[in-house]
Amino acid sequence: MKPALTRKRLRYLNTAALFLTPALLFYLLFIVFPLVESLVFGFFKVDILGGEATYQFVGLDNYRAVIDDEVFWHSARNTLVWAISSPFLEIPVGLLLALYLQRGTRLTKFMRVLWFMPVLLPQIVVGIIWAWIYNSEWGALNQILKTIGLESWMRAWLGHPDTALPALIVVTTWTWIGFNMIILLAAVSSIPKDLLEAARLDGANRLQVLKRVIIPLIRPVIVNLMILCFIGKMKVFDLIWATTQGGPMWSTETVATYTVKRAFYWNTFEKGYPSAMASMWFVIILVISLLVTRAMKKDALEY
Amino acid sequence: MISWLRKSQQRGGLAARCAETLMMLGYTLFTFSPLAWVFTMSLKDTALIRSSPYSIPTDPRWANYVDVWVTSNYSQYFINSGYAVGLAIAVLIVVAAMAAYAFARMPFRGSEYIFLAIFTSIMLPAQVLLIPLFQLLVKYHLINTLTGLALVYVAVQLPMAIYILRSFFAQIPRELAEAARMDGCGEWKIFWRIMMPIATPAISTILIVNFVALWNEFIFAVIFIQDEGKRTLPLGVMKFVGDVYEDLGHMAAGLVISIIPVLLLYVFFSEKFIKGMSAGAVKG
Amino acid sequence: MAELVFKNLVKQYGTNTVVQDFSLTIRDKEFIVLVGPSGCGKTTTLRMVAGLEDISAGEMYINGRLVNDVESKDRDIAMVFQSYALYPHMSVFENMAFGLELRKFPQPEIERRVREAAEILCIDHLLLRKPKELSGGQRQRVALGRAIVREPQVFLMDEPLSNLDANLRVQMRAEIAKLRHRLQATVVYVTHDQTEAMTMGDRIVVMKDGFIQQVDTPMKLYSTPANLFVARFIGSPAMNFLSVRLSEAAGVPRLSAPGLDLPVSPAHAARLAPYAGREVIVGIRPDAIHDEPAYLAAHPEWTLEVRIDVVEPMGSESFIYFSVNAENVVARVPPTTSARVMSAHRLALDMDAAHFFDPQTQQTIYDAA
Repeated sequence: MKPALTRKRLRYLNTAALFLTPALLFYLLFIVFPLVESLVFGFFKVDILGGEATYQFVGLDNYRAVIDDEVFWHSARNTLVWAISSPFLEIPVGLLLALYLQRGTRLTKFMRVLWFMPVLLPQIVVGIIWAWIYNSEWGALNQILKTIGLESWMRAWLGHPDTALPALIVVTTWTWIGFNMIILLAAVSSIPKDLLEAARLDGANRLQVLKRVIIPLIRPVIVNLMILCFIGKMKVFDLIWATTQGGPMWSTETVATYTVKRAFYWNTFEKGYPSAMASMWFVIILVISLLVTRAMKKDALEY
Repeated sequence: MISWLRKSQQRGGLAARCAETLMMLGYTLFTFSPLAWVFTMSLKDTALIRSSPYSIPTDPRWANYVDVWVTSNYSQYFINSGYAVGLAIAVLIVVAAMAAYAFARMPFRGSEYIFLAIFTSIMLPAQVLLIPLFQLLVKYHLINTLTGLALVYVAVQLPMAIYILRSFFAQIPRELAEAARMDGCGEWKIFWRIMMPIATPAISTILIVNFVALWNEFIFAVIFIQDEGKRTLPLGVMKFVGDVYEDLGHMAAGLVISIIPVLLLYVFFSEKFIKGMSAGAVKG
Repeated sequence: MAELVFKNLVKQYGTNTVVQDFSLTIRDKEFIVLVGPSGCGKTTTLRMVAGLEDISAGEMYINGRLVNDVESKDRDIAMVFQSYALYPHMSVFENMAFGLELRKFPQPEIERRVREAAEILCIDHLLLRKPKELSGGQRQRVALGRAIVREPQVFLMDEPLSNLDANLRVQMRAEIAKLRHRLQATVVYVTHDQTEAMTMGDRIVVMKDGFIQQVDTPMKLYSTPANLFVARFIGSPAMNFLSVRLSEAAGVPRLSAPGLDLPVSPAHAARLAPYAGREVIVGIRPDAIHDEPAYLAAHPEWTLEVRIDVVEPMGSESFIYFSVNAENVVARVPPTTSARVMSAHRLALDMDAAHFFDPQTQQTIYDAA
């Protein structure tokens, strides 16, 4: 039924509009407008030299240039490696820790608080600390390798194209395990106890209970965490900025860092090309997230 | 909590149990020791750090902190961060709560779609907004100002805050608003005098989440802020990176200063932090 | 002075009509109870009075003033909610003072009114507590207090006792009844519990499916229900109903059914005349069924023999259950009854107290005017 526009109804809509207006202003001005502009800029040559911006429509030229840009492909590959490997590192470890914390002794309560802590640190700070840990001369990692007699393994971890990216992936994993652990702990705790006991009585061992009961039951949470983790890594910026700044040899360049470099550090007057790159990446994130959500999300299970 | 774990442990024997506990203690060390190490570094000078990086400082150089705070301008960074984050959170809470209340309690045709549209922007990568936002801020003379930065912060943090508050408002019994209306409140007073006080738990969650997120925020700050005097803490921390003559002791002290507020609050309110930071991560 | 007049009120949600053609005049200082099963429209009606629901059609007047488009806060009405709806972040005092404060009463006056109300309700020692520190009964009192301090012309109460346990409910029922005499205000009270309605209301409005079934005093509702629904709804245990055929023997109309053949009371003969040879529904209240030997001896023509299914001794009385023509019947008899389970028992139906209903229209059969 369409409610008639009575005086009361009008007053109601008025109030609703009043309450929504500030948020909508922020949203339109700082999110929608820039987003649309970015998408549009991608089809233009945008020159802001001399204060006044000039726009020249160039069709798909920017996108063709992106496709031909070798550095973009490096960045894309690195970012995808990061975004795809991270969920499979953070979430399993997080789940194991969560299962351990399940028993809830005083020691585990303490551990839980410590394990969660890295999430609270700025990635800039985390990056600087880990750059020191990876330092070739006095870094902790090399010191430890030396102590346990693996001198041959010692190297400049962030200084070599082969090890820089994995070394940084370890850092994001270190940061985010605790977060995943907390969410998974909540999910595991919400499984009814009798269900696990029933499985035990049916003769399942711990691994089987984990594989056949726990994981299927918390599957929606795991899927959500994977998407969250994926999206997060598709945007990685701070950590690289604080450590390798994309090097050596583009080996840790991500789409985010490359876009920012192109937009604000290299040729700071041409905004069409970086806009095209950013828009493209945004669409890719959106499409992959939606596809993964649709493919993996079965209906939530009822206990 | 779950007895099957404990039972099987007993079956597994003492050795397995010890191994497990050791592994977990090892992991604890892994999460915690980098910070502890930086703290010891912050009390040494560069020469000592290079010669014996892992010693416990016997003669702590507290002067590092004084130097960093005064001469390296950290006091200014601290104030700048406090201003940008404080302003952003104050505006955010009011704006988000108003919208969330409207979404929860004044539905109209299409309001659900507006909510979804706002919520979806959670996925946006910062770099897709950076270029136009930069030009926008230039146009309104807000570039290189902490106020401009705070406004951008409000916008990007809005979806999550609205989401959390909306589900909170939705579960406040309708009768409370009705009772207030009979008592003589209009919608505006219902919102401020009844709903906002009741929403304190949700508001404190938003306070925590955004304090952590914005205190640590880097990408918008590094693009929009150029003046030394307007740097926020993460920018200040970055100042010496890559500097060949970096004073490691000073840098470490700077790192400690920049993370102290969050960590200190975490020590006292760890449960609230953990709950708040994971709010809204599972749903949606 | 507060007279409420409803003229053909209608409330619709979409195509669903929940209150239909509701017309009623509530007199000043009257305690009126809206009663009916859930979904009958009684709460919706109350909320329309409160101004919390829009009126789809019809008119509502308070003291002659049309209030269809008047905001709740301008109607001089206070309401007690089923869930109490106390503000959780305010103390008891603040809860009660809030409405006065918004109406800009001077502080001493607020103080005076709150204390006075708190004393009447015996909650003056709780004024500084928060609602979560109160028991259910105490919250109920605060909710009442919040309404009282406003000294409104009209009190609305939406099932205020339904969240209390049985003992407390009886106690609060008596207190509200006492309170209303002090308040000197019009009260509209909604409940689904016919006992509450009977014990509290000056008049009762029985509703079903959005329609008013009958408006009358408790005693009149009990003695002369307008239709089958009211007859079944009012009274506990409920009235018994039997489908019977009106036959005639020796010039006297009789009610016949398998296992039953009783002469109609002469007082009812006239009204039943048009139904001769047809089906009617006869209603007998449990207390109109007797098994005292003296009564049986006095009214041999009304007696019948049944098999007792259950006997429930209550102390001051006993309920006996049996069936007549496959319909379950309950009787309220003295505790001295000789009825035994599974055995035959003689009892008498007081035909002077019988009610008759038309099986088609469900309406009570009255004497032709």
